[in-house]
Amino acid sequence: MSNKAMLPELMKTHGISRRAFMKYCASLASVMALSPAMVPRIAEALENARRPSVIWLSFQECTGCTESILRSHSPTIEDLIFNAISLDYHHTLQAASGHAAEAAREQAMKENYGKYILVVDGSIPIKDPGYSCIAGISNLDMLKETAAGAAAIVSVGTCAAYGGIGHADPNPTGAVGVSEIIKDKPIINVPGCPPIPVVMTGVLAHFLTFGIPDLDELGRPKAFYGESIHDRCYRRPFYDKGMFAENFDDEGARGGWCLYKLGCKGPITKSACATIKWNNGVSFPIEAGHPCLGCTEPDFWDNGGFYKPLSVPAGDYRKAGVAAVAGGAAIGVASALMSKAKKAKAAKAHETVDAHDLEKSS
Amino acid sequence: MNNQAFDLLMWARGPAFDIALMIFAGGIVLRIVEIFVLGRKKDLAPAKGNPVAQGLKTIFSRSVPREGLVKFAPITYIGGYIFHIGFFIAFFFFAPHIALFTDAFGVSWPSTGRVIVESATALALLALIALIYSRFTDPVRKALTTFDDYLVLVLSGLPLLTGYIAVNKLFGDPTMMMAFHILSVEALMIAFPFTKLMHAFSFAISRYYNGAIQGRKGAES
Repeated sequence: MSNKAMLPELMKTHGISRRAFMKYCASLASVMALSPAMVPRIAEALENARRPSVIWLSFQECTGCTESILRSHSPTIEDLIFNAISLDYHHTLQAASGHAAEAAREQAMKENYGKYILVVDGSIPIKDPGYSCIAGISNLDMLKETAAGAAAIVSVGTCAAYGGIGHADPNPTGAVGVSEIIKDKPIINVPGCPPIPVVMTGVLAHFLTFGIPDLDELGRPKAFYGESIHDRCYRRPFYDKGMFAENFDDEGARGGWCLYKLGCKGPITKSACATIKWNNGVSFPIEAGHPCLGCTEPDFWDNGGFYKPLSVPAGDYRKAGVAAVAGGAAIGVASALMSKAKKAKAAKAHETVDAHDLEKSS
Repeated sequence: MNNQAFDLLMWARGPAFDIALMIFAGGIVLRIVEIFVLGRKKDLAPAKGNPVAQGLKTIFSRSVPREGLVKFAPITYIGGYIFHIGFFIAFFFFAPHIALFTDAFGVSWPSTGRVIVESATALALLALIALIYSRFTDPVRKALTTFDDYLVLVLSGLPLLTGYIAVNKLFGDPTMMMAFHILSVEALMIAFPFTKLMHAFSFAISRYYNGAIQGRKGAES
């Protein structure tokens, strides 16, 4: 794959005009919150960037992240960006299999040592490495070995970024994200289940153009994960007015009211879904009538239930409440009865005293 | 990688809520049951008036200040009203709070918009500050105030303050502020049965009792 044409030639063969390419660069600058003055620089960098070798490792994953990238509406320029990189190893997309596939990885590593980009999707089991192996190599060993020569690592999807569904309670495989294992390389987390295609391509474009983007405390590029879904949601006015859908088939649901009461995790979820949207900007989950699951956040699988409102306790609190009421009532009765008994005992112990007794005692 | 704010929020929504609920519900039931089981000694004297009617009337009449008292202690009365009404609106008419009641008891009622809820919260907070201020500046009130009073004032104000900050994202991580908000409510729940906060449940009992005593003697209360 390494002798592929550079971007301008690829554009020509795909019938993409220079104008469309510049438009794409402008939209990239816009989604990455960069100044419009940066557009020519992005274009120049993308055109002239030495196509870096990319090794894509898939561990405990569902291939949803790859599926998401494949749906970046080929042949769009996002697709070309992916063609413009030299994707040297991706065991779902590559034709080679078995030893030939592993040989491709080893060769790419050897030829580009210290310079290649490592993309990871899926979590890594550390309880017993045998839970997930590729060509007899455990995920943990393959990650360590491949990360050693990487210039940077992009953890694509919530599994690679934070452990994802594998990490969900009770986490039988001891699944963790890449950043729990690799500490000495720059890591860009691109969480989501799956992430938005343009966010993945945008992060790669940013890396090719300006290097590592500005990251938040969870390792996510601030350009895409800087704001919550709730703050940018088109249904937000309904939240502010106190208009909520109570179930999936009521007047509120049909009228497009706020989905908070149906469990929407938008207020605590940072992602660009509400602005960039999915399927080439067609829609996003909330627009389709479903509450946000919060899939760009660590441990979102354990957030107490997808359909439980955020303000509702996550545990089985009713049992505790009923037990407390019963216990409180029992102790209340016992305490009152003890007080009564004490009073009765004291009354019984009273001795009658008359004036003579008082005189005697004084 | 963990998100500490998310973890704290989940702890607040999980084990911390269960603990707070057990102390809150258990403590309140304990105290109310104790009041009723202890009862009062039977009054053998013939009643001169209707104790039940006076008792019931007093439950409501004590919510209205006596003539002249508003002028005498304006901060206490006006501040007290604004705080109670504001807290009531913020607590019972904000949709996320109603969702909690719906989940627990299956009941629901219409929520109000953000403007009303936030105005009520802000007014309640200002009233609370005025009430604390009057306790500091009025020498009589200052002498009467105990640590418990200040504790209760602070514990009642924190949920309003943290809720306002969390919803408006004034500062800090919104998830963390939401966790703080829930934790502040849990602190209030834990202190509830052991402090004057208990009046939210016991006020009707004590007012009825006072009214009924007077009513029995043929006096208006």
